[in-house]
Amino acid sequence: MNKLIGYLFFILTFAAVLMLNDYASFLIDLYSLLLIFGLVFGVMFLSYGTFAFSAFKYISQPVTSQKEFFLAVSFFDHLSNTAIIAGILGTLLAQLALLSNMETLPELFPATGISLISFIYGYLVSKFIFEPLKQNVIRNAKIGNINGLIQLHIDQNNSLPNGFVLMGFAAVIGNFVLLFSSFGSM
Amino acid sequence: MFKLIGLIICVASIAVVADAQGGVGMYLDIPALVLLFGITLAGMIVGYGKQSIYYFKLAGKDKIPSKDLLPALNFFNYISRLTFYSSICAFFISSIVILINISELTMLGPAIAMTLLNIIYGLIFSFIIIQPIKHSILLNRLKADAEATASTQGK
Repeated sequence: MNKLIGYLFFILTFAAVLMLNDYASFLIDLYSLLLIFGLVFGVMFLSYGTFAFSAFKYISQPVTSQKEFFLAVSFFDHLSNTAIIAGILGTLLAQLALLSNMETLPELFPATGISLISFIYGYLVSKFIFEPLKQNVIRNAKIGNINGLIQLHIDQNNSLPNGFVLMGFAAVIGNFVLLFSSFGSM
Repeated sequence: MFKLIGLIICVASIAVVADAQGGVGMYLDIPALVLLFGITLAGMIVGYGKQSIYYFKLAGKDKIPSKDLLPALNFFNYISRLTFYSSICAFFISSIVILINISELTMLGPAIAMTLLNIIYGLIFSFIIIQPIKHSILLNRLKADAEATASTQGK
C-alpha cells in the first residue's frame, strides 16, 4: 500500500509540473521511452531469463540468506544501472545524429535539449523505480550481518556505471565547449 | 529462450532509435570497433591469460563450482572496466586525429560525432554483452546452491 501511495505521489508530482508549465509537448519523447524500457527489460531477460519474474518477490518477501541477499540486491542494482546507461546511450545516439547533421549554431540548442530527455528518463526510472525497490529488499532483509566480500562486489558493480556516466557527460560537455568556441570564431 | 528474447529486445530498441535518428549506417565505424575489441582482448589476455577462456566457458554451464563464483565475477567486472578504459583511449585517439587534421570549422560537428561512437560502443559492449553474462553466472551458481539445499532438506 505504501509503495502504491509513493508511486502515485511521483506520478502526480511529474504530471502537475508538466501540466502547470506546459512542458508536456517537449518532455515526452516516445523513442527515448522505447530505448529505456526496451534496454531495461531486454537486459533483464538476457541476464536472468525466467528468474526475472520471480526476483520481484523479494520486494515484499524478506531475504533470509547471504546468497539471496546478494542475488536480490545485484538484480535491482543491475536494472538501476542499466536504466542510467540506457539514458546515457540515448543521449549519445541523439548527440551523434545532431552533430552529424548540424549546420548552424541555433540548431544546436533545441536539439541538445531533446537529446537530454532520454538521460532524464533513464535517471527517473533508475532512481525512482529500481532504487526504492532495492531499498525494500535491504530493509526487509533478515540476515545477521552482510559478508564483507559480498558488499565489496555490490559496491564494485555500482562504481562502473558511475564511471561510464561521468565519461559520457565529459564527452558531451567537452564537445559543446569545442563547438561553441569554434562557432564563435567563425 | 528468454535470453534470446532479451537480446532481440535490446538490439531492436537500439536499432529502432538509431534508424529514427538518421539510419543505422551512421552509427557504424569499423576502426572504433577494432580499437575497442583490440584493447579489451589485449587487456583480457594480459590480465587473465588462458583462464579467460575458462571463465567464458563457465557462462554456458548450469553448475558452476562454488570456488569459481567470485573470481568469475571479478573477471567479468574487469572486462567491463576494460571496455570503459578502451572507450576512453579510443575517444582521445580519434579526438587527437580529428583536431590535428581538421581544416574547415563546419566539419567539426560531424567529426566530433565520430568520436562519440567509441563511447557508445563501449557502453553497448559492456552493458548488453558482458554484464548479462556476469549476472547469469551469479544466477546459475545461486540456483545450484538452492537446489542443493532443497535436496538435503528433502533427505
